[in-house]
Order: sequence, then C-alpha cells, then structure tokens
Amino acid sequence: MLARVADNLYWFGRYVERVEHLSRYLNIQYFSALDTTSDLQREMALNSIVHMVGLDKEAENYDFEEELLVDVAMDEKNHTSIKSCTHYARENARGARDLISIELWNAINKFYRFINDYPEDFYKTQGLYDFTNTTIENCAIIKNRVQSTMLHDEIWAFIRMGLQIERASQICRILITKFNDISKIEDEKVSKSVVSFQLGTLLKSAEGLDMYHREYSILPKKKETLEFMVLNARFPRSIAYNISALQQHLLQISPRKSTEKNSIEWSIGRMSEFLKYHTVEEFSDDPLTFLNDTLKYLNELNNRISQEYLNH
Amino acid sequence: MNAQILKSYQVEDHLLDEVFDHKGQIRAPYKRLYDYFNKYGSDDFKRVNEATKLSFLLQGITFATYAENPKGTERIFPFDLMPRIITGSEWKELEKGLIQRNIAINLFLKDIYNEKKILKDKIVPSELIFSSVNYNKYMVDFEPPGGIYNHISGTDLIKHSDGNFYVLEDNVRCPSGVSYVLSNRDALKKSLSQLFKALKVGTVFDYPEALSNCLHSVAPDGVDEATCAVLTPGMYNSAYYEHSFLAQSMGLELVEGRDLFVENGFLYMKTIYGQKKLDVLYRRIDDDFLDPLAFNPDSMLGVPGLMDVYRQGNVSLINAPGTGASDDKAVYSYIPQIVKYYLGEDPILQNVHTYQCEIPSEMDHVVNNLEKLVVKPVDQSGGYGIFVGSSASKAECEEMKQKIKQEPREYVAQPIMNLSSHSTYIDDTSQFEPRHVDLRAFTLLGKDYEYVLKGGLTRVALKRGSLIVNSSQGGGSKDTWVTELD
Repeated sequence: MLARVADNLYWFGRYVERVEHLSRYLNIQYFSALDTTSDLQREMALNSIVHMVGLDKEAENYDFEEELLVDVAMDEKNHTSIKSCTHYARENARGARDLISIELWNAINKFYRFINDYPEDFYKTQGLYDFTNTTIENCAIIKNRVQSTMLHDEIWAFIRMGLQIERASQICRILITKFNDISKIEDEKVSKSVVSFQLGTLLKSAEGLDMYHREYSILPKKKETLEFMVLNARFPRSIAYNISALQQHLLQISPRKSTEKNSIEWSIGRMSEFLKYHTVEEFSDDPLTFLNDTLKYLNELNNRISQEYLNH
Repeated sequence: MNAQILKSYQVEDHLLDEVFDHKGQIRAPYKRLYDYFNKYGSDDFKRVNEATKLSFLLQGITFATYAENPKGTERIFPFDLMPRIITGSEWKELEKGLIQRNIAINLFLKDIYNEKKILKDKIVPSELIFSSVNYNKYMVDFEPPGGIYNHISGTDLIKHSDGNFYVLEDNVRCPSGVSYVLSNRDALKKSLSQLFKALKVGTVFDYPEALSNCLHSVAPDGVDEATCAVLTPGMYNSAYYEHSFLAQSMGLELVEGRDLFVENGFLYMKTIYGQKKLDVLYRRIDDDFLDPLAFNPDSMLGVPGLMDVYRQGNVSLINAPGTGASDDKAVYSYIPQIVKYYLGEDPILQNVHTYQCEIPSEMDHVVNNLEKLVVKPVDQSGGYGIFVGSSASKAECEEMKQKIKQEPREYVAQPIMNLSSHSTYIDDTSQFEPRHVDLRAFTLLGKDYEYVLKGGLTRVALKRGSLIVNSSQGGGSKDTWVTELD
C-alpha cells in the first residue's frame, strides 16, 4: 500500500472518531446545562465545549451563545469545527477512494452532504439536537461499514489505528476537561450531587453511563469513574481497551517478525501492559498529571506511526 | 413517457431524430421503450429522475471544474433517463470500423516515429507532422512494448441526417468518460430493469477486465507478473472520480507523481514497507507533465526521470507519449488515406469533410463561406475555441478570417453537420425535448488484443440548439444500449 494512502486512511479514521466525539460532547454538555439554575455550571458547560473543540476564544467573549455554537459546529474557517473535520474525513477517504468499499464511501459521502447542506439558521434555533444526533448516528454507520464491508487487512488496520488512537486521545481530553471542571466546582464547596452530576455527563459523553451502572451499581464517583474510563479492559471506550486494540493493529501491519527493543510495537506493548496492571489508587489523588502524561504519550505515538509508516 | 410528457414534443423537420421519424412516429427499435415509458405519469417520471440524480450526488459521482468555479463545488454530470439505442447490425459495422481506424492510427504512429515511410511517400505532408507541438522527440527511434501506442482510443462519432455515422474526432491521448458509461448503466438498470431483458442489451461491465488485460499484455519484456497502476494528477482533477473508479475496479493502486520515484533505471512507488517496482503505468496526465526533466520543468504532477526509464524499456506508459501527433484536427483529414496506406482497405468509417486552412485553395473556400462552416483550432480539446459560422456576428466572422489568414496551420473547417437529435428529458420544463447528441466510442488495443466497449458514451448538448456536447461546457450524457434486436 502507498504510504500516502495509508496516511489518508489513518487520518480518515481519526477524523471520523473526532467528529463523533465532538458532536456527542456538544450535545451532552449543552443539554445537560440547560436546566441548571447555576450560572457557573452553564458557563462551565460552554467553556468545556470550547476547550474540547479547541477554539481560541473563551465562552465569556461571545455576545451570543448561538455564535459559539455555530463556531463549534459549522464554521468552515475554524479547522477544528465539526464541519471542517467532516470535510477532512471525506477528503482523506477520497484520497483512498479506490481502496475502500463502495458501501463505506457512500456512507461517508452521504454524511458529508448532510453536514454540508445543513441550514445554519435552523441549527442555531432548534436544530442542535438533530444535527449532533444525526452526526453521531452517521459516524456509527460509517464505522459499521468499516467493520462489515472491508477486508480486515492492513488497509482496514490503518483506519482502525486512526480510530483507536483518536478515541483514546479524545477520552483522555474529556477526562482532563471534566476533572478540571470538577476541581473548580469543588473549590466553590458545592454539594456532592453536583460533582456526581458532572461525572454523569462525563460518562455520557463517552456513551458509558449505563455500562458504568452495570459495573458498579452506584452513582458516579470520582475514583470509580476514573477506573472505568481509564483501566476497564472490557469497555470499548476506556483508554486501556483502546491502547490494547491499537497494539493488535500495529502488530498486524508490522513487517517485523519479533518485537525489537525501542520499536513502536515494543513501546505500545509496554504501555498496554502497564495499564493492565496499574490500579486506580496509584493515580486517583492526582489524576490530571497521569492523564496529561498519557495524552503526551499518545501524541508521541502518533508521531512515531507517522514517521515509520506514513512518511511520503 | 406518457402523452403528457410528450405532448409538446416537436420533431424538428430538418434534423434526424433518432427516436421519431419525420412524421412523428416512433422508430421501431424504440417501440418497447416507448410503451414502457408510457406507463409513467409525468409526476412519477419526475420523481424517478430526481431520485436518480440524487443517487449520483450521494455516491460522489461528480466532477468539479475549477476554472469557472474556484471553490470547486461538485456537480453531477447531467444524465438522462432515456437511453439511446443502437441496433446490433449498426453496431457491428461501427465496431469493425473502429478497430480498423485505430489499428491504422497505431501503425501511423509507429511509422512517423521510426521509418517515416508515409511521409517519404508523400501521403501525409511531413511539415504537418514535424510542425505539430505534439510530435514528441523522445519517441523518435523508439518502439514501445508490444508495439502499441494508442492503447485506449476515444473516437467521437456523429450520426448525420443521412443516417450514417461519421467520425468527428479521434482522441488518443487520455480520453476520458468511460466511468460515466458504467455508472449511467448502473443507474438505468435500477430504474428500467425489465427493459434490459426485453431488448437484450449488451453489457459494458467487462470494460475494467478488458482494460486490465490490455495493460498486462504490454508489460515490459521479461516481466511475468506485471505490477500496474493508474497515475492521477490528484483528487482535485475534474476526472478524479474516473481515475479512482478505474483503479478500484481493476484492483490497481491509484498513484500520484509524489508517490513515485526513479532509481537505477526503474520506476518505484513508495509503500508503507518501502519501495515497490512498477511495470505498467496507466497515466491520466498529459505528456507535458509526465517528467519535469524531459518536458515541463515546473510540473509537480510527474516523475523526474520517468522518460529515461521508459526509453530503457523498463516501464510501459499507457497511452504512449507523443500520440497527440496523430489526433490533431489537421491530421484527422488524412486518416482515410492512412487506413488505405497501411491496411490496403477502404475505410469503413467516414470522416466529416475537412478543409485544411494551410492549403491556399481550401483557405479561400473557408474564408468565403464562413457562415456555412464550423472552424476549429487544430490543437484544442474540450470544445474550446470552436467557431460556429451560422451563429456568429459579422464582426466575429471578420475576426476569425484574420486569425485564419495569420495562422492557417492552426485551423481546420468543416461543414456544419447536422448532428442527430434525441429525445431528452429537460428538468426546467419537465418534458422531453430534442437535443443534439454525439457518441464517444472506446477502443482498446493491446499486444494481440482488441476490444470495443459495447455502446460508449452518448453526449448530449443540453442547451437548446447547441452543437457542443462537452461536459465542461454544459453537456450531459445518456446511456447507450446496443441491442441484439434489429
């Protein structure tokens, strides 16, 4: 496979996953804050959206909430908006058009047309739920097409690697953002239910609240939420799960017969084992340092994958 | 099409309508189609038409023309639900004629780059060839693998009011459009499924296999398992859909210039595991951009050193460089003599009579009869620069005359041919109206291999009365059915 095309496939995977996470985050955060009377929580929700998307402007610098919501979702000049990311996902798929299945291509192209044609005025006034929800559904359809209409060969593995590294990174960023939020509200000496509510929106942002309940049978608490989102080996959105999957895909494309010291495979294998035998007690006192280190690791891993396989 | 849709269908007296005779009666090959369309109400027809268009958009079967549209908004290539029908016996003649003509063009190319017999025998004036910008000096004294130059030819034909097909133009550089034939067929199969069986329509889906056979047949000597690839300028090219479609349907890599490099006389592509040798390159970029060392030094699309690899016989290029010397509009008029010279046969397909402006007596005729002629620059494609005398103003005619006198080699002229017209569904009026059509036929030549795509691309001039069918100028297309029935 051409290195340039592998790069397209990898980034196609990353952008699809990114679009899904941004949309869900926007949806969950926005609607969760609607019926709260606390201004702090409202502003926090908006700022939290701004940080996840990576806008330059803080929420308080917007005169109207609608402008912020448009920037996040539909601004074509903003490279991190949902619309831009969808555009990049499709451009990358187009660059590998001849290698992916027709079904996958049709799914991404149909989604692109939906985003492209979505009326901004309708979105601003009443379409936010419809827009984000349809987006999330489309991402699920696209990922289903990846799984069920492609050969599970190295072409597929590059898409999956992109998906998995992006998901691990997004989960890491959600955790960092929300744990920052929580430490701020804790400083305000709010009630425990407010913290639990924030943890609930965090879990929902990863589509994990229901499965959290099944695993722990209690309302969301900090330590359990961390354990679930970082270390759970059976939850497909946990960081450990995604690193382990990433390791499998890397081994699938690796031309090396054995794992050499300091190779990418060695590095990710170590990280995967580390998370397998790590306990939440070892980082629950200072989750932010741990999470920031993990995000840094994921960024370095991305650079190494690019250098080794995608350099063209 | 029911009575409502066809109510105002006007057969134009002086033209050949392929569907209706001059009394307005349906022609025999279209009878079943007519009955079938009759079952539709006009609203239903409109719905099917729109659903089909949407399906093209959703599948990304689109093109973008950046010249007039800097944002590159994608459009679908307008497509009509009413197919054009060519009968089996009509097609057999066409097929024979196309193979004959393209084999002769191949022999001509081999000759003008090697022995130059036809020039020495003064059948074709040598100035005509050597003055052509498309005569490629890198091809002199060189024969490509398998002896084939024009592996893929797109021959543009028109049906004149006398009922015969005439060749309007040969395209033997990088003819495009074949992907639309296949996607049009795909769309029509869904909406007109019962008709296909009844009319015994020949398939077009064997094209990718035929092209793949053709590519493999001309692999460099000594290569058993050739690695072939399609070279595209990239996804912002207006024909990118076609490039990716062809690569995908043949199972080949779709490469860009930046994926390739030359080392020790061989061509390689950069893969995730390092370099891999390429043996056959179906290139969809023009000669000028193939190799910045040999041709246009500013080209970012090609591969430095590619022509050296080619000359050493280590890679095959499809089509060969320099084929443009045989398909410009001035050489075109000599094709009947060229067929006769190499094959000793009378040409099966006729040319449209063409006046060479560089011959003084013909130039006189052209400048004195401009209003009855179409003047074409010899070296433009895509329908650009075409001058239609009957619709030009006096000032425009005067300007054209001056241009012809200044640079006679640059122009040819042809009588205004009455391209046949064909019922075409027009969105704006939701009715069928006559529109001019031509036909681009696709012929493949490989080593001991010949193939003609059954049918080809019928192009439609969507502007009422217009004769220009090119997609870049508002043309559309129709599926073309070759039926076994007569």
